[in-house]
Amino acid sequence: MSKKEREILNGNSDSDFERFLESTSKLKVPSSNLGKEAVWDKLMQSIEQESTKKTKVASISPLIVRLSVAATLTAIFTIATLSYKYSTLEFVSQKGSTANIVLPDSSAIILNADSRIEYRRFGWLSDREIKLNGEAYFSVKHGNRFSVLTEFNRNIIVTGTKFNVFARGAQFEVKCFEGSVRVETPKTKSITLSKGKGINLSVKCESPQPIEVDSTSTTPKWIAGDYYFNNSPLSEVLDELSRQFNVSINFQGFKPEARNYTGFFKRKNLTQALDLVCIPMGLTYQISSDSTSIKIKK
Amino acid sequence: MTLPVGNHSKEDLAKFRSIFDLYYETIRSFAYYKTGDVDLADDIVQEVFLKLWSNLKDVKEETVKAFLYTIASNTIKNHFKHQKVVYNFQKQDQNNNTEDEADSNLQQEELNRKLQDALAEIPEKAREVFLMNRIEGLTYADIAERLGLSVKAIEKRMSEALSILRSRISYKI
Repeated sequence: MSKKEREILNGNSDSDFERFLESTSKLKVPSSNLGKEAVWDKLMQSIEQESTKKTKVASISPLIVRLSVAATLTAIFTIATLSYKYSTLEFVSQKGSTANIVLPDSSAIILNADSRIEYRRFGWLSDREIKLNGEAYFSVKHGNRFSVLTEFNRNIIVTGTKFNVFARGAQFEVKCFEGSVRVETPKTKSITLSKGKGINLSVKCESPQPIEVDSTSTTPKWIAGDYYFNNSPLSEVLDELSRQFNVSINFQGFKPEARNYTGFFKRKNLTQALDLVCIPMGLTYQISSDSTSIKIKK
Repeated sequence: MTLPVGNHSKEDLAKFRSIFDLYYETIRSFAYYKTGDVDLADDIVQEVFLKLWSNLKDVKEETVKAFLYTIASNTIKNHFKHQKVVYNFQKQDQNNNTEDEADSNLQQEELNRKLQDALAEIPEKAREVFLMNRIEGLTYADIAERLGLSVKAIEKRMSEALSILRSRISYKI
């Protein structure tokens, strides 16, 4: 037993253990079944096989090999790094469903049906931009700043608030539920919305139209599944029905763009929703047997 | 002895054989500590030396030992599923043993059983260090060189193995 080992054992004399330890040094690994020379012969055989395989390959200058390996690795590394850095995260909600998303700064987003957001996977600190296509409700942590970019360069500058954005094609609406947000478009000066204020900046509107926002709630009504319309074109109402119930809607004998609807529907029940929209407008509807398409007639 | 074809010279082969002679047993033992299987140990030895052969020109004499152990570790890690290791150590022949042969056999069985139980308790890394030290009588510095570790690390592993063995053995007797 070495001095070190004694130290490890705290100098405590334990003769049984010492004897046991002594005996371990008399052990040996069981001998090879093949024997050393047989192993050597097998080794030589494998080497021979290996080298006959290798000699058939034309030899390339080792320097060129090394350089090309280095170049390839560098290229792969660069591409990987760049694609990693500039890759974007994309979240999509399908028709008939919503999605909850948490941003890297722990702000929350609820995506309404058939909507899409996108932001850079990395560099959130330096590049705080979110692209939105569709409808989303944002609940941003106090003090956090970022921008929401939508089509037609209508952008929203956010500083810790709760607000809803509806950006589908030419339509664009922002409603503020808490704090304030700034809306910028190429045409207008920047507009600041405070709590309880909303704005409609759709392309067809000549000037920004203020919208009333129910200031008793901090969330839009759609979060609870209620869709309210105030003198909205029927086409927008039907589009929303189609998104919420994941159905395609065909119409006959009337122009939905030309008629306006005031009322509401709930997301729960398709027939009920269709009744609420169609009956006041003097329309009849027919749901297909697989309930994926709806025909509306005058 | 067959001469392998290829761009290796006779000197290479002689060098290779001398390395094989020097390290065959110790690498085989190392593989045995890790696997507890003599046949597997020979397979591993072949793989290790095959790798050495294809890297013979790049391997320096000072580093060949560490090179062999590193390859052995990696080969075992990559190719063989980890199983519970069961050893079957043999006792060295001791002609000057005055004890009765039957008694001696009994003692060896008892020792082997106890050792097996105790060794199974030791984590693999500490176990192989312990066995290298006890069975091959390698110094801590030598083990450190072979495994590419510091002497401190070997001491730590050794003390871990010893304290586990101590608690097992003292308790049992």
